Amino acid sequence: MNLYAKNLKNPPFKKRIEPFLYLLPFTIGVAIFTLYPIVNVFILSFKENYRHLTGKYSGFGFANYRSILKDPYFIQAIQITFKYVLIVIPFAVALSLMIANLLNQKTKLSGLFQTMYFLPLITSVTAVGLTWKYMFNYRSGIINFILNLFGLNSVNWLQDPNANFWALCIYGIWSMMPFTIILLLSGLQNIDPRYYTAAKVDGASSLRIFFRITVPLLSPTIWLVVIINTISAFKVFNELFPLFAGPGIGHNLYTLVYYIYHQFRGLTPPKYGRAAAAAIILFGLILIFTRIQFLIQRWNREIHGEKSK
Amino acid sequence: MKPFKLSTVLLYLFLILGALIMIFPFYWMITGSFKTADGINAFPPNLIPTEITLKNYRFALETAPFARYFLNSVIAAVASVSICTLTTILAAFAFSRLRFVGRVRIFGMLLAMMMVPFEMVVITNYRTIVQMGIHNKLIALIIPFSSSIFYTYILKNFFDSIPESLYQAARVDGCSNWRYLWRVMVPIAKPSLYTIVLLNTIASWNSFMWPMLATNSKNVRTLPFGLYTFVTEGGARNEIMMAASTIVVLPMIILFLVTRKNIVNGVARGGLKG
Amino acid sequence: MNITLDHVTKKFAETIAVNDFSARLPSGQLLCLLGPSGCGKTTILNMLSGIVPVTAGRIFFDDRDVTELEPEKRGIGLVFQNYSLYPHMSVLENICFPLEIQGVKKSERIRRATELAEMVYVDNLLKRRPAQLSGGQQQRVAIARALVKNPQLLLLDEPLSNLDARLRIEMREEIRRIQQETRVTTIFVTHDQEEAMSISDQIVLMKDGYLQQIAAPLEIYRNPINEFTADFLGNPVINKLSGVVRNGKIRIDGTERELALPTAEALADGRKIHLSIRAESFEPSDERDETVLIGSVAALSVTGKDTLANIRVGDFDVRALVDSDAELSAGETVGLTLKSRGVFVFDAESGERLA
Repeated sequence: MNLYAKNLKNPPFKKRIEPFLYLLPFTIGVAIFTLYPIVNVFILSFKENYRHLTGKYSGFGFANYRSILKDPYFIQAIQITFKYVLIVIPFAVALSLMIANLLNQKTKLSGLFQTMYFLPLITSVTAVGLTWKYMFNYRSGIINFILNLFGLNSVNWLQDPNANFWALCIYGIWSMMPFTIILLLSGLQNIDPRYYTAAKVDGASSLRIFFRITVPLLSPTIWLVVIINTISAFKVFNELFPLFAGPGIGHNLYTLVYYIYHQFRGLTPPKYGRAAAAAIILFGLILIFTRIQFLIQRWNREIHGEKSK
Repeated sequence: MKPFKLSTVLLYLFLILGALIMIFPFYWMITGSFKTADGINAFPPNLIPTEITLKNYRFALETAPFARYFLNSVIAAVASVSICTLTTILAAFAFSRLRFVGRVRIFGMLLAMMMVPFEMVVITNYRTIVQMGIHNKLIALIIPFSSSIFYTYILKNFFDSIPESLYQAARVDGCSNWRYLWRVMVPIAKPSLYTIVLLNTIASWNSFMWPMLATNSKNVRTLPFGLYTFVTEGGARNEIMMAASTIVVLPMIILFLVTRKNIVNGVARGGLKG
Repeated sequence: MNITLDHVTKKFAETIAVNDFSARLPSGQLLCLLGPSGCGKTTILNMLSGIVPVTAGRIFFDDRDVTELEPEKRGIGLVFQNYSLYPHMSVLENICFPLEIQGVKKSERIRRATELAEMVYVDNLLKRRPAQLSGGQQQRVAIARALVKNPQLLLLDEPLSNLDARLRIEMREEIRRIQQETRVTTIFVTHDQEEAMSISDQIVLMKDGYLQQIAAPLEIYRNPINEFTADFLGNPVINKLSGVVRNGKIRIDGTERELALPTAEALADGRKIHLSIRAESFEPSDERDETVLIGSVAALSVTGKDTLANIRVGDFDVRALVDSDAELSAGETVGLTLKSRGVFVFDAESGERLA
């Protein structure tokens, strides 16, 4: 027909594959190191009597799940992990909320304060964890020194199986706070200052303003922070190495992710199926909380209108 | 002089106390690294070192190849961050501006995959790198991080906020997609990209679990894992441990002091993995 | 360049944005695509630029079929409502960019860009970034950027709607001037009838995806093809009185008498009609015969030489622009004769022009 009658509706082959060329490098990485492992772990978790060396397995079924659910170490791992989440999250969020609220009162030096509060965000768990190990030291640690100052007895934070969980929690709270403060602070800065002005004109005390205005308006952000931190606390693992060089005394700090790691890296022969099954259970937990997070974000948009992305 | 209100004083006291607790470990790490063996184990502890020594650093550097670890960390960070940034830019552009079959569905699938914890895929990835024969090689610390759904998602959102009419204007002028991406999109997205690069660099520098799985010999270890093995294998003394920790942490502290605003804004906009 | 649209239709997922649109737009003119929002005018523009493919029909630039041609091969310049300047480039770089893509030599690029900048009066701002410019200046730069590669056709998509009222008037005169200097065929999309009336050679009026009328502004004002066209153009809005034809005369709803209108004599008895009268088409009269509308003055506002009178006629409030010398007073009963210009009869159902 005419010279140009090709494009727009039916673009030439070159034009049609162009988007995929842009996606290609990204896709290779995602396919090999994200998509394939997801599928693979899922299948692995159902393969029964899987032998890594031969690649043989006797069939598909729930044997791995049954086996880890009967494994006292797994039950313990779940318990420890939940206990950790239940203690760390409320403290970290409550303390962060206080600090964020104070940081939000336009003080001078806020740049300095931000630097100090947010520094732990960017530092290696290993290096800082080792410092905490030194601070938790039974005989020469500064934490026991402070306890002594208040007339309390020294605690054997790292070696006492009744205390080491609390050392982990203290470190967990400390390291979770910067991120939490940042999110809460940016949530606070999104609150329309007119609400405060109105309340002050009405003569409300600052405590009342905090509980009657700040907290309700901030609650979507607070919940968001709770969920994100819960998901990350479920994965508590790295901290165990610098602090305790492993899962505590007599495996008493055997967390869920440590369990996964141990099954495929710490045992000979490695139990890939059980590791996979445990990972799928972790994923299930995260999925539940992600779903809640999604609902909260929708709620958040409803409260703050459609502006924030 | 302006009279201080009691509440203001309390506010500052509380903030200062909290801030001191937050940075105390860093103070303790760095001062500890300069203390002598007697100084560091003194009880009650010396808040300010009474005697300063550089021996700890010399000892750490002599007993473990920290220079090598440092170099490995730099190589792994630079390589994985640059490759990842490139794949992220290309993919984010495709998802944001180009039209192709299944675009929305594929992107939705990627978002769903973002929920999958790294701790899960690690099981297979460990076997993958073993099978690829790159276990215990530096490249094993780079290619698994060559693309990131998370950063692609962040950058795609930013690209989406650049008005479509800019793209139309350029297309009418005959600008190719490739040229538009590099000449218009990327320069406009510079602040966002900068934040992504920073956060990715920090994540790479601090990563512990993957290097622990993927490497074991000394000459491919990165700093955090090198530090950990140094402490566990050598049973290092506190002052040496603090000196080695300082070596690991210092580059990131400097980076943070220089780029704090970018990092904090990036995190506030959801730029950190949970 | 003459532009021909031949039965052009554009369907988006559920909606038909442009429906069987045929028109021939003459070369070298400033044309306004006018219509309420959602009428398909921007879609027409985007199809002309090639950003949006047509669903059916053909588009010709002179004799060349460009329907399937990619945007960059059409030789057009495009100006957007939000200016769409590249925020990271200076004014000069922005204007140069289309030439850079074409591979024009740098010295030549700068020469041409400077020339264009002079024409739109931004030559003193060449080093600035878009964010440092006012809206009017940004739009001038956008026009220079669109013109720098000597397009055959300049398309402007609501270019003034982000500007404040005073700048808008200034800029529309600028666009008029630039168009007359360059003589490039220009299509200007707007929803503002006053804007369209004041600058265009031809108005292309659209509604709901359909072409309504193409004509010069005065022609379309004086001779609307249907009721929508009559309603859409003109300020104050045309008066609309509904009524019924009785023996070749019109009985306005709520009145007890017939109005004799020479143009309406042939209309069928009992037909429901709308009588549309422009505000300036009334003249106060002492007559009380059948050629006169009778009403009572409700309110008056003197604007100087003219007075805007609100007059109650039957069920309707009529706005009449009358000479202040007529000295009407509120509450008074007046007779109004109708001028021959600006009085139209439309079918009440279809809006079709009857007289």
